[in-house]
Amino acid sequence: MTWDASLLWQFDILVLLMMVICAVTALALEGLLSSAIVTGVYSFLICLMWTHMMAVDVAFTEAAVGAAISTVIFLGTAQYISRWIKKDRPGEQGIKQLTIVIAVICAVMMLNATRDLPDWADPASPASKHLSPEYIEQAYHETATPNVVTAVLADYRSYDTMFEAVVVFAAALVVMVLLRRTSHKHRKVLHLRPKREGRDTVLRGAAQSIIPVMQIFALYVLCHGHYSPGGGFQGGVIFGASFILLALCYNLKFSMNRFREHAVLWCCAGGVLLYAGIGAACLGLGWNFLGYAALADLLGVSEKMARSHGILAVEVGVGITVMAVMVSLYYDLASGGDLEDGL
Amino acid sequence: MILDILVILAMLTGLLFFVATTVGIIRFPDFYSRVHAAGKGDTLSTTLFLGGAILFLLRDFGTDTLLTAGKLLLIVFYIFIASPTATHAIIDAGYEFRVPYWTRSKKDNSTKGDEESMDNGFYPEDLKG
Repeated sequence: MTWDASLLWQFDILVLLMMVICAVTALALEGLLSSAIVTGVYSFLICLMWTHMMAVDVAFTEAAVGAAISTVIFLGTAQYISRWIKKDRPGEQGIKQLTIVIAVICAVMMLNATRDLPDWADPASPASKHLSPEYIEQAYHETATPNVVTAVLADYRSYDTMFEAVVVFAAALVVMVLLRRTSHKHRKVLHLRPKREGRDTVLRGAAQSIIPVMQIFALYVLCHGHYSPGGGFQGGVIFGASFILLALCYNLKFSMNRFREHAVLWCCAGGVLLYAGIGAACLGLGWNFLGYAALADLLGVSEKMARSHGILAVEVGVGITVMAVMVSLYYDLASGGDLEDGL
Repeated sequence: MILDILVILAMLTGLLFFVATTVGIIRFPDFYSRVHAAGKGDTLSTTLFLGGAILFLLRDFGTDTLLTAGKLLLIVFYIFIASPTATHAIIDAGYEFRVPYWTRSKKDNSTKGDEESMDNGFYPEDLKG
């Protein structure tokens, strides 16, 4: 079946309209918690758009990262912050108006630039003419990976992906440097934290039945990235989400006893090191950095299969890093940095 | 043929429950009943919708459709556990923060409008904190 995007243009307009409404609502709402939820809705709407454009890998990532984990991390953070809109402060009004003017100027410039962009899925556009056909034709023969997205992500563009993993790692590091501190005498003020000892039976029962399924699904997503949408980022986020669910349904201590901060940090660095280590191994065997074909002799398979296995190995590295980073971010943000007590 | 009718029936019932959910969220007077409407209606209508989709897939029976139907069944299972649990958690949190709830008697006595009909004083147990 060929896919004609113009079939569902009403759907596009509806979703875009709802996205604009969500964006405006998120800015207009006073409560940070409500804003976080609305941002999550916005992410889900983008997922719909991307699924409609047949970019299922991107939609999957957005659903896992943008809609699920980010919302939870926002919620964990928002309990420490209260946003008060102070009216009639002389300096602030001017800055707000200046911001609006700058935003409008940028929007006009960008909207103006969209006229030069090629039509959606235009076969004559430079992007579809130059490199994409080569990837689509060659990817399966060169890497034995049916999912072209994975082949491009982890083989042809593996430098890019490696430094994405490094960026994720750096994010966890920065949050840790900024927030992490030893526990202190003064109790944190947790306005929004209910005391719910002994009343979590339903939540715990549900968590017990869902978390194992979630973790198996995460491993499936990670390993099946060659054949279907998925891969290291999505699998890692789902695996990390299972620990966050544990922390939400029991408490932070319970989750941290299962997956200690020390282990989390080792995983954070270990995933990136695994990725870079595979690249370095290829370099050592006389090929380019991250030229997985070098591993053919070592693994005893053809060069084609070696590239496939190399993709899997770096995806595992990405998955470990992303999983640990998500857990680390949640631990630090939800507990305010002392890892004592939190959402 | 019978399968077709079943699919249409499931989809229509699901749609009906979705409409009921929407009406409930808009029309119900307080937090608890709104969340109740959202939780109950959403779970049942999503189940019905996906059930209809599974039946529709199984019209041309084969390994492929069976696999897809199995995946949809897993989604149904997941929603069936997760959605009521989330509803429970939201309502429990609202209860602990003493979100006011609606009572009829106060509304009859009150002359100051809807805000006054929210009871904030009476709870069966004294909560910690």
